[in-house]
Amino acid sequence: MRFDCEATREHIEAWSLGALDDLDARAFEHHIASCRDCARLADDARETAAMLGLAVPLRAASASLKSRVMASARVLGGPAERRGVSPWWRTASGVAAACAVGAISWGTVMQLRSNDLQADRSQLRATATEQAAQFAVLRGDLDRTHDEQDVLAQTIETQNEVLDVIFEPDVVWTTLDGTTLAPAATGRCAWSREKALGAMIAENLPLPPEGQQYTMWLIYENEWISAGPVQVDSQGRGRIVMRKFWGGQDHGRLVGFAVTLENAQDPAEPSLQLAMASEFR
Amino acid sequence: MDYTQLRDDELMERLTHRDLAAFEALYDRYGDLVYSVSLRVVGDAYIAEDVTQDVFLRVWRKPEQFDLTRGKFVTWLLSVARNRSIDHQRSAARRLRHETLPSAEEEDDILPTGDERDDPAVAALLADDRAAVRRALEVLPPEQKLAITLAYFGGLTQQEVATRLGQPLGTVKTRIRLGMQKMRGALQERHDRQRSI
Repeated sequence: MRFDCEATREHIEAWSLGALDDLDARAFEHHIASCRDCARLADDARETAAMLGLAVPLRAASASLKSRVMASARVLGGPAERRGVSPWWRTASGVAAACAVGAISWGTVMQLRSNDLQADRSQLRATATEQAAQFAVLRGDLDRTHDEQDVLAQTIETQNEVLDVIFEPDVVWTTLDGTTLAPAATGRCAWSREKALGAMIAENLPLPPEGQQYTMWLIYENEWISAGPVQVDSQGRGRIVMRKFWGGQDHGRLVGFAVTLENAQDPAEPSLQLAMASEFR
Repeated sequence: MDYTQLRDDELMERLTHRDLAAFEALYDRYGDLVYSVSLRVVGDAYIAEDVTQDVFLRVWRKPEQFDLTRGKFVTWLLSVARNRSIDHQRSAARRLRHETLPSAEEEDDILPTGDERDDPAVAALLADDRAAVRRALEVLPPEQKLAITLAYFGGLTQQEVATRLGQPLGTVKTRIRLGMQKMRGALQERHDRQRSI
C-alpha cells in the first residue's frame, strides 16, 4: 500500500497517537520520509499527541529511583578500565559473607563451637595414637577440623572488625533498595571512610538463577570495584564485609553501593543486572 | 555552574560530552513526569520505575537522538516514555497471553480532571502547560476524549478501539481525527496568545 499526500494527512492524527495498524503505519512513514511538507505536519501532530502526557496526574517518583538511575548512568559513562579484587580479599570476603554484621550473639556461638572443635581435635589425637590402623581416616577428619577452625577464626576476626566499624564515630549508614530483579529486597550498608571498611546486610534477596551469583560493588567516581560475592541463604539473607581495595590508585570519592547479578565468579566489570543500589553521600 | 538555569537543549548538548551533572539536572526536572506517564500506562509503580530508568538511560546513552529542529525536548521525552511504556505493556500481555489493559470505563475513570489529583510535592512542574492541555482535553466531547485516551495511553489501534467500544471503525477514526484537531487548535491558540503578549 502507498499513501499520497491526501491519504497521509487523513491518517496524520491516528499516526501521531500510534493508532495505525502496522501496514498503514509503514505506508505513512514511507511517505513522510520523502515528503517534507507532510513530514512537518507529522512532527506537529506528534508534538500535540505527546503533550497528552502532560495531562496525566503527577506522581512523585521514589528517591531510590534517582539513586538507581544515577548509579546506572555512572556505570555506562565510566572509564572502560575496571579492577577486580585481590585473591586474599576474595577469600576473606567469601568467609565474611557467612557472618552477620554486629551479631554479637552469633560471635558467641561461634566461639563456643570453636571450643567444641578444639575438644574434638584433642579427642581425635588421642584416638589416633591408640588406634594407629585408623590413623589415616582420622587424619582426614582432623584436617577438616583444622579447616573449620581456620574459617571460624577468620569469621570471628572479621566480626570483630565489623563491630569496630559500627562503633567508629564516622560510620555512615545507607539503605539499598531492590530493583525489579529483587523487588522485595532491602539492604543496609555501614561504611567507615576512616577505615575504608564496611558491611552490608540484605533481606529478601531471591536466590540467584542457576549459574549466576550476586556481587557487591563499591561505586567510586572513577570506577566500580568489586567487593566480592554476596552469598544468599535460604531465608533470602545476604551479608558481606567490604574493604576498599586501594591497588595503589586513586579511585575518587565513594558515591554508592550496588549489588548485581553476574555470570562470572569474579567479574572485572559490573553487568547491568542491578539487583540493589544506593547512593552514598 | 547552576544547571537548573540551563535550558533543556543546553543540558542535552552537555550530555553529548558525558556531563553527569547535566543528566542529573534533566532527571530532577522531568523524572517525576516520565514516571507519571509510565505509571498511567503500565499501572504498576515498580514497572513504571523500571521504564523511567530505561527512558533516562536511553537519553544518557544516545542524546543525539533528540533533534531540536523537530520539536521541544519535553514532548520528545514524553513520546519516548509513552512508547517504552506501551512496548512494555505489549510484551507483558504476550507473556501473560491475555489482555492486561483496563476496560474502557476504567480508562475514562482515570482521565485527569484537575490539579487536586496531582501529588502536591510535584504539582508545580510545568503547571501552566499541564493546565492548558487539561483544559484542551476537557472541552472535547467525552467520546472523542475516550477514543484518544484508549489509543494513546492504552496503545490500541483504531480498529482495537472500535472493537473495545463496540463502534464502527469509521466512527472511531472520525472521533480521533476531530478530537486531535480540536486539541491542536486549542493549544495553538494559547501558543499564539503567548507570542502576542
